[in-house]
Amino acid sequence: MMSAAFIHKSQSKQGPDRRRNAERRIRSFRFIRQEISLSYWLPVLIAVVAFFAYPIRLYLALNINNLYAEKGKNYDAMIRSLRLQVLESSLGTGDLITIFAVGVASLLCACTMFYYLDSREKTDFYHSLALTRAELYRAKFAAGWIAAAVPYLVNVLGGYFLFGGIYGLLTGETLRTVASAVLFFLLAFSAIYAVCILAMILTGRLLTGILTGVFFLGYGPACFLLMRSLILDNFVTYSSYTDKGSNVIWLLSPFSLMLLNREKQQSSLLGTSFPVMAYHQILPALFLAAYFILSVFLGMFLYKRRRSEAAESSLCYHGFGACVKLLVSIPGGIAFGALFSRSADAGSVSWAVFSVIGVFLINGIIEFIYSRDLKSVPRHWVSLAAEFAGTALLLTLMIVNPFGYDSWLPETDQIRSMSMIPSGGGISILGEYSYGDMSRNAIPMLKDTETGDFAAIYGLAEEGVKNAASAEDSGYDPNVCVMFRMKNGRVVYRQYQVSDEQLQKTENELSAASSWRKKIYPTNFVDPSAIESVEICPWEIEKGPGTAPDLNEDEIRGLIQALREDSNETDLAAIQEENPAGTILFTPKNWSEGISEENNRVDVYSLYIYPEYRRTLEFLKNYGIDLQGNTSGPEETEKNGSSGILSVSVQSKDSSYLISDAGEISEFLRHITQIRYDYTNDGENSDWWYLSVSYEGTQNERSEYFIPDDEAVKILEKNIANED
Amino acid sequence: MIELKNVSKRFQDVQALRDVTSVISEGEVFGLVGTNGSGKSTLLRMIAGVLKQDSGEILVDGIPVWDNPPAKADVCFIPDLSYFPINATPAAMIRIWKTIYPDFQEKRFLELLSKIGMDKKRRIHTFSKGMKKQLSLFLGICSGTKYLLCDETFDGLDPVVRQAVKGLLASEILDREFVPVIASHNLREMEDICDHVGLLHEGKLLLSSALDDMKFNMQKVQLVLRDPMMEEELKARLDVILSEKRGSILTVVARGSYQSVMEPIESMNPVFVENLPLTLEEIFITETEVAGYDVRSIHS
Repeated sequence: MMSAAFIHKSQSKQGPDRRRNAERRIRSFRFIRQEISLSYWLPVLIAVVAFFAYPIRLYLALNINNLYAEKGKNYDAMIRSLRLQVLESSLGTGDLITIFAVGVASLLCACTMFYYLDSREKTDFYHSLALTRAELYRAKFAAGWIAAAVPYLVNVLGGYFLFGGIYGLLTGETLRTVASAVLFFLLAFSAIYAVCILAMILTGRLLTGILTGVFFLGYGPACFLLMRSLILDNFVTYSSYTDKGSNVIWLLSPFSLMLLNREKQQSSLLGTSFPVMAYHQILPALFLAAYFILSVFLGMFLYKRRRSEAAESSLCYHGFGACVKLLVSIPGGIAFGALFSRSADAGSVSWAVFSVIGVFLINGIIEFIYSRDLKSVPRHWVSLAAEFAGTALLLTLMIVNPFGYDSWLPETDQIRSMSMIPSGGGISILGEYSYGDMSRNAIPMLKDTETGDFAAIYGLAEEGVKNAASAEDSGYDPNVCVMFRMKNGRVVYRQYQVSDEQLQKTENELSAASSWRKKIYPTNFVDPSAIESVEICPWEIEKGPGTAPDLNEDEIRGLIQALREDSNETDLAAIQEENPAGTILFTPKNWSEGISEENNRVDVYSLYIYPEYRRTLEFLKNYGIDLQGNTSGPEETEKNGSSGILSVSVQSKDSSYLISDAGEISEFLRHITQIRYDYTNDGENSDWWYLSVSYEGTQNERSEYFIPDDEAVKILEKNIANED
Repeated sequence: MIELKNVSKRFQDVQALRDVTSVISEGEVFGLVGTNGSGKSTLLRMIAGVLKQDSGEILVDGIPVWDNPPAKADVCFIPDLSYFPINATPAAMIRIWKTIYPDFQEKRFLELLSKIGMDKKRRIHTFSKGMKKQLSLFLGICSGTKYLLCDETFDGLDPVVRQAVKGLLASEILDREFVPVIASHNLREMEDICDHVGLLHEGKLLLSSALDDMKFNMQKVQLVLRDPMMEEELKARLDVILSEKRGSILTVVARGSYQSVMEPIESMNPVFVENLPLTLEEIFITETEVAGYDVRSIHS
């Protein structure tokens, strides 16, 4: 009886509760609608911008019917291919306009929806409504989200279906591309919007809210760039190529995560020093989702506890201001110091002095933003002292190098194995190969080529440590990357500047082992199935342009196999001073994917064929290409005439030259020494030039490196085409 | 009923409210008076659920108000500076108010607008300060909530509208369950409207009682005693709050009923005695003076 009464009572209580909750939900939806209509200008503005950014841009970019005057048989296919590219670049995840629009829209929506937090009367109005703080947060969040997402979706999908339909681009693949980009950008917007709202919640004035939003989005990557630059400047043996942490920069902000996909496509936005990590496409989305969830939960948590009286104050939470000052002024001051001491070409003392000035200035600026009263600078002397102390600590670590980072070299009995790879600069035969993205490939290559017989590599490291001690402030370029695997299991990477002789000697010694050759020679990483065609060029320029044998996939596989076996049998010492017999050029089936077999280990599109490459030369002979018997040493290149050459153009630092007279071409070629690509890194051959040759009857050109004698220079001076 | 139980609030270095305890009952108009910076607005903002008390409890019909929609739904707060969204018109405010307050009386609101000739399609930012106050009051009255919190809302209204609003409040009280809580400096106005007054000074509630009780329990008497030496004896027998002597006339403000104050005076057989009517303003000045808010020291 009692339990029945209890159930009845609780049911009767649940009824009105449920009804009240339903009413509140309905009221929340109405409130969202109301909020959007009150800020109607926001969706209108976004709709106008999106209209120009998508349908109008697509219309202009896809309207390429008369791109070329001559319409060949593949014209339609080419135009379609171009249109597909346009569609993907305009509506895909790499679209720069969308990336920046998402950033701006997020900040704008957060400011519009939560601007009431910067005024007492507005806060009174919203906080007196019969909504919980969480409901108000959700309603405001949803209103801003809808105001931005709906116009974006309408314009993107409208543009895609309209112009995709007109130009016949509505395929499953394009739909997938557009849909995944739309989802990605909506997720990115949600994450950045949530972060900006968090900034608004933490502050009580619009200006500080916007600055805090920018701080949240830019602080991580900016600090990372600064610290990395300082480490590279101050720790000369720090190995940037094996620095796995450098990829972290992309993950430090939802905005940089948006750039990651673009950078993957373009690989240039932030410069070459920040190569893109190998990642699955889902990774940025996962991190964005994490940022979104974290920011929403943190935002809601803080909003529930936010004091309404914080309106019109710069910051809502005590201690947050001091934290921000500390976080901004220390790296900002150090960057300020580095900038000024570098521009004055001054040393560490001026860096320290300028850094302290920088900290003081930045602290003053932040204090002024907070309180609009510079008297608060001495009032908050404790946090200022902490900023100075933090700066001093970082500067000490950078300048004094108290832990002996650059002089670190373990005893040989502590080392289990070592490996090395040349990392650019200086002469190295391996320099003829491009190993693609070194920050991605250096570690696997070092791990693949580990050896317990490391005396030669250890010698290299000893010289590197000595050079680091003597050249600490000279800013030289390191040219070898070394891995130490210690007996205790620890793996240490270092980068050194060593002499060309020592590097060559070490490479020659290591290449004596076929296991090492197999792990490092690039032929072993070429994927024959990724090659569309090959072209073979004889070494001598006069022998004409390349020949492209008509090889099917099996034949290409056979050629690569021969090249692989030949190169693996040849140690570096054998070809050290030798001119190649020719060059093999690869045309990949897909340029963006290259011809690499394993994780883009190599990035080669041409390789030298040496006279020792017996199988390869034999293979080519079977296809009517005879490269044998036409080689000579770099110092005594025989010239066999220059018939068939239309012109030779030469580019130097200051001028460009064009020789088109047959007699002069012949004379010029007699007075130059053609050199291998890797010789261009040789200090002795630092005065190399670069030429391009046009041949009769073909549009193909050849480009080679050479060293001219005085006679050749005179001929060039007579044929100057353009002086820069 | 709104119950305030030991409510305290601090803004950084300023103690805005200290241990405030009071009850705002149904069927009365509650007036909140106090010196500048005494915490009137803070208290109203806390009752509206805008600010959270540091300690104590605020209950609206037995439910804590902070972050609690069922309690907040019964309260409409009209701050001293009302917020109107950019480009909003009275017509737009109807839509907003209807969303927020389900019982909003649209028809009545439109009638009120037409009575004072306010154009419902005119943008509010073109209104004068007084017109905005009128609009806020009309919105508040028509919101249909049980409690209406007005923070200095009457200040800035012209006398005609003020009278009209007083009439509106009275009719609302007659028509439905309606409890206005009004904070103001205009004590004469408050005396006309309020049944119950809470007096705040430096964050403390000096007194909170029905206005009639307040007047009943405090007497202002002018008298002339035969023997001036008896003045001290009289003061000792009374609960004197204030006394002032001009010439031979002694003015005394003392706590107690008419009888309890007059009996000791008359027992001394004074030459002259007269019980003077006390205004709210006098009660205010008297109580705040006792609490250390000496008005005379400001102008002297």
